[in-house]
Amino acid sequence: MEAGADLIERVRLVCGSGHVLTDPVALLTYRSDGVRRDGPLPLAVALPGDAAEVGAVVSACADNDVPWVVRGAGTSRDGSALPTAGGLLIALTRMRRVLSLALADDEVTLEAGVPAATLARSLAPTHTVEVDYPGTVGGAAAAGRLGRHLVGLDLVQADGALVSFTPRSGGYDLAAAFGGSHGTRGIAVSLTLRAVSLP
Amino acid sequence: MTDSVTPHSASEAAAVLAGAAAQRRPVRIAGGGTKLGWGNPVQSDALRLRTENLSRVQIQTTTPPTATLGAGTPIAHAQVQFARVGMMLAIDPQLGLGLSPAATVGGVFATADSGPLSHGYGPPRDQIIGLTLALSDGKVVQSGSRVEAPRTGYDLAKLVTGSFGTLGVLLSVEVLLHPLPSLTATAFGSSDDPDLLGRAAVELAHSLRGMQAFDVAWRAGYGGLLAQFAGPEAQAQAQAAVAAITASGLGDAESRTDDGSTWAGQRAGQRSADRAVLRVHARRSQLGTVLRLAAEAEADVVGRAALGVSYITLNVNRIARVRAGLPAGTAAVVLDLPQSARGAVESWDTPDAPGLRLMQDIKQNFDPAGVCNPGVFVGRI
Repeated sequence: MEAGADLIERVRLVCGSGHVLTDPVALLTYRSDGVRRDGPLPLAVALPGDAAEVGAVVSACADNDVPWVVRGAGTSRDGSALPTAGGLLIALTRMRRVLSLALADDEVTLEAGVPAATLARSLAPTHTVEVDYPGTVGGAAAAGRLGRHLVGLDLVQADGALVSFTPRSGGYDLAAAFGGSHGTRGIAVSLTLRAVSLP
Repeated sequence: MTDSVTPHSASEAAAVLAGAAAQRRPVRIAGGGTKLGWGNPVQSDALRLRTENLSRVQIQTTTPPTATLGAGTPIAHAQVQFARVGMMLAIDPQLGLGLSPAATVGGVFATADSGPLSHGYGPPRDQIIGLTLALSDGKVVQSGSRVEAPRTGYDLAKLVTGSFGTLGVLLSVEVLLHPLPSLTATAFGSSDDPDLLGRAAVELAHSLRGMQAFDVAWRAGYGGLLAQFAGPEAQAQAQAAVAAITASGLGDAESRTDDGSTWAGQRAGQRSADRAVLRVHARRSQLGTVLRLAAEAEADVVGRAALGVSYITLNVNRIARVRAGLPAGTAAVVLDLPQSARGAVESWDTPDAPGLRLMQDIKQNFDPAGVCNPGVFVGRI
């Protein structure tokens, strides 16, 4: 079996066959980005449902030597959300849960596919996070648009391993340094943001 | 005996590092020497690279105003220059043990050391917008507002801040400046109940607006919260805060115009020459637990009440017990230690294996020869 077919079979086992798109017409939706330029058609689009599925998909790509590109809502304007020919496109749009809300600590942890525009609504009426970004919170982090709000993250690395950085982790400040890395340092599957309490 | 070099330029510093890398000789990077006891010890035959000749202050009157600072510039000297034009760098750690304020720009950013102003302005990583770094392969790299290349990797300035000199030699930083307030005033409240102080910190962090600093202090069974306001309305704001402090359950609430001594005391409480200092980073809502542990260990505490950062001054033989009692997910690092205990106490918590592997990879990429402050950092990086 060729690498592409083997990969698609594994990714279907991970995400469920309804969350792996290979139909050429369906793929057309995913070939452009926020400035509507057209990239190549990807091999397939994977829509993982949680961090473990993202890790398994990335691991399958590594095993099959197939490149991947990650995207949220695909609103990026710098080309970083465009698929590569023959590669897998991993879209995080199913991952939109608020994982924890620690209002006493002004901290919220969200999956990366939460739309940035809904953040303020999720935290109302006691808190807010002002993010001027049209896509997801993961996209906003990758584009460096979360600024000092971004204080922690869970990162899936190129081998599929998950690394966590909280606001209280020792060592290099990788949560702060991740901002603006455009997906080149791994996939941020969840993010911890410092919210602002409202009067 | 330890050799020492004092490069005068970026290229000289890079050449020194490259020479050391070729010989696989460790390099201990030193600024004012006020924090050389922090972290795990570097082997004694390390070449000492001193940054004292890399000193300069260049203020840019842009919007927002910024400054470029040589790594060897004493922070105190830079603040004098900024004050002359009505500005400040919003980073105010204790600048040394004893009377000499010798801490340099490089040392403060390398250790991400901070003080009470981090409540209102954020930690050092929020003040730095660019840097120049010498690497052990002899190259000099830059990031910041005057570097035009698009960035796709880690934010170099934020990665290097707090890296304890393990990635290269910090040569200069570009920082944000803020207006120097004409007046500051502080409201206080106190209690002998650690849990009450913890609950009040959460409540006041939400109810008091516009604080420049919000600290906690605990000593000999008694503690307090301090809320500082800055600017022309500072006195009125501090007076208004007294009612909220009283409503939070704290006693002896009052306000006064600052004369500097109270906050100098808070900064001084972050260091100790004869006891250990454990810096704990917990959740804000865990402050009561941290204070209770400190009280049981007969320790003193100063810290940032809303940020969950506490500096616990205690006897060396109490460190393990306090560490063991901290809530899960809390980070603790030993900063100061008496000379006799250095090397006998592990400075850092043990990171989880994937996190350590990633940090080791980063170290390997920046410093493949492994000569920059080897061993001082988390996981003996």
